[in-house]
Amino acid sequence: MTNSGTLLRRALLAGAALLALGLGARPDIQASAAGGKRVCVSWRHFQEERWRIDEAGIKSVLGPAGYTYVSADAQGDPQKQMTDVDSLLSSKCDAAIILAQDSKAILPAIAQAKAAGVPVVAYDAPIDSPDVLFVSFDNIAVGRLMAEAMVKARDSGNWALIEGDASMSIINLFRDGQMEVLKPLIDKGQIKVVAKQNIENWKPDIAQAAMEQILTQTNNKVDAVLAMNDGMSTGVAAALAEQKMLGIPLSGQDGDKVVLNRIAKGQQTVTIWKNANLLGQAAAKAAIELAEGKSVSGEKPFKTESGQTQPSLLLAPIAITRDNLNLVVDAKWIGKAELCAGVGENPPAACK
Amino acid sequence: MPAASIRARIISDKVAAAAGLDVRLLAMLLVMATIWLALHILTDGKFLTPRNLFNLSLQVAVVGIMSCGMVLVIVSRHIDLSVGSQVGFIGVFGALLQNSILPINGAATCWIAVLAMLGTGLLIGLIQGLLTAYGRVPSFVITLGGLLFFRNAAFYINSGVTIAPLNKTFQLLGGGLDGTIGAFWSWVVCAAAIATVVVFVWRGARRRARHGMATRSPAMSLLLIAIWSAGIAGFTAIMNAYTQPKSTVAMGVPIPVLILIVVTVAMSAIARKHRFGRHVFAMGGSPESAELAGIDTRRMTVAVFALMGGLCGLASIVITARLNAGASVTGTMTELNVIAATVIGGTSLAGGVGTVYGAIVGALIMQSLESGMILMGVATPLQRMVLALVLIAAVWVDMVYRGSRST
Repeated sequence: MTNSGTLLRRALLAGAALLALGLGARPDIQASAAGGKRVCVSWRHFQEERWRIDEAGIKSVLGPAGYTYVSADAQGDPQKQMTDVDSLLSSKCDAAIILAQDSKAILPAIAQAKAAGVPVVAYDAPIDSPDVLFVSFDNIAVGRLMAEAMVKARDSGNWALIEGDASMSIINLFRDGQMEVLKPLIDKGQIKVVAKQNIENWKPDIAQAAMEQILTQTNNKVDAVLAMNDGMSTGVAAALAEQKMLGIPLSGQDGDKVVLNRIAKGQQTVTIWKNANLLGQAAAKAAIELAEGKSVSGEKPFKTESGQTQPSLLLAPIAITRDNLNLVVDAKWIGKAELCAGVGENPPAACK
Repeated sequence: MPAASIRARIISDKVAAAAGLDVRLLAMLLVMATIWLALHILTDGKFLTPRNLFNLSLQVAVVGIMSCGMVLVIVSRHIDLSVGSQVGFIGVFGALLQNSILPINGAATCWIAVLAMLGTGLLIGLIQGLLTAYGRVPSFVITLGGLLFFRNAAFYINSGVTIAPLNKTFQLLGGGLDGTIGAFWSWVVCAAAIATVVVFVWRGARRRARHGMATRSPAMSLLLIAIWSAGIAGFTAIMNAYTQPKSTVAMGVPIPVLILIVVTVAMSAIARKHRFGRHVFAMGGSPESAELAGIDTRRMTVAVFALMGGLCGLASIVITARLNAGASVTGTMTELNVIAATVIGGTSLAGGVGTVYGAIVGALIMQSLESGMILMGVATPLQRMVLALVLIAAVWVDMVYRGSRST
């Protein structure tokens, strides 16, 4: 189903791209200033809300360093992204940051950049080539931090695992990280995994129904729920509320505002927060270092999908719990009023 | 087909017709009973418990409500692929309305949100219906556009940010801890439902007699009333046997389930008794003859889609209230569950044939398997594979059954 959905989307996008070509449109390249040194950025789909945060991070580093920010948006079409990179390269770049729509379809563009001597940063999404620097969040750390915070809240008893869509390989990275922490405890028999479910499309309503069934099956004998993202944790929380069990350890990922509010209210333990602004800054710094022929500080080898080795810069995400809610407020991710809405007695430090 | 089995089929059909029973529905109920028993055994006796049946009835409500509308859409030779996206969009819209626009507290907020959500659904359905009927664009294309448009609109209107919590009164419509009508009112509704059955059977018999049609024997009428009453009372007893956590207070019938029952009965009445429903079936059976017979097929099409949209609004109210959050991904792919339930329930994709009750049973079968397999701890991909096979098997058996009848 996911496949046919993607196929359909691709077909429609291809149609849109053809239309754009037919109108004689050139890739809409935007430059903030002319002349000087340039870092070119190819976005895969800039309309999604999050990338504005990344862009702000990139610009905040490039500007003061005397670099010009040039960008193009592929609008979700790998074909258009090829043309975009082509045009960007011919407009002369000192380094390129590419958020690839497809880790393999982008390879010809990478080869071109290599031939032109332009270093490439693969941003956030993998590019299956040894010739790029991969800058992303450490997804194994996401799982590890999540499990660590949960174990700190409760290191024994019956655990339910709510995992993301089984067709997405990224859940394996999350799970690997979780198991680094949990496996020893499971082997010792201290933690018992009483249920494990993958949730189709990470949907909250499906997670809710699954959690209802898990609670029915175990007769409410669940002590902690390790959910892989915040959307699903919202479904789990609704199911727990039906059984007056809200408040048992519950995890998530993404820093959803609703979830941060639940953490403030003591109804959820942790959410893993990835500050996209920091990722943008890191990528911009690396791009400048590469453009100036320096080696990138802190890079480590990373194995790509096809098993090749590429240099990488993996940022650690942050586990947000009751104790460090001030971080999200300080970063202006959420307002204090929104964070602390409905917090009763015994508010967390961030709400005082 | 051997002659003996044809004769057996004819006899069984005659017996059923004399009893005024729908053989197909009976067969489906039998299949469902078998599945329930099997799941009960496979889950070590956890499936047929008040708690699980309570869960099941809640979990089936959303798809059930939408299936009622989808029956008419498919019967009229159309399809609505946008229903899941509509649910997502209307849900985010309704949550925004409560959480950001209106004051969050107070019952007024709830009812304004409910009306706005129903109205939005109706409006979306109306527009899609108009484009299909008067624009002469196939409904597949229009609603495919709707699917993409509203899925993204759901994301766009709040930048994909989940909205919670919702209005306290509104939450009741989702059937949470307080969203049930309690033991006493459950019995009141039960008594009213049984009284309605008695009146219907009695009036039906009188009407048949007046028009000189074959009537069932009084014993058969009594049996029919007894079966229905037992079913209704049994259901009520089960819902009342489930108690609130750590207490002995009975839950009773959840509000979403009550909504589903009302929608099912109303839509079934519209489909079978009302002129509108009959025209939809006539149109689905043969659009040309329906038009020649003076039925305004375009207006019917608009009405069918508007009705579908309204039911999407209702389903969205239930799903959003139940989750106590407006999330933009809600309802993704639900259109496929709705269509599957409708088709398993015996609605023909060729149009002209289908029943509302069947669609509800279809939805129940799918949800039973899904919920039951989670109780069993079956791995998720395997669950999906089983559901896919059930869908194919159900339609195949139906085709064989229909094929053997027409010969």
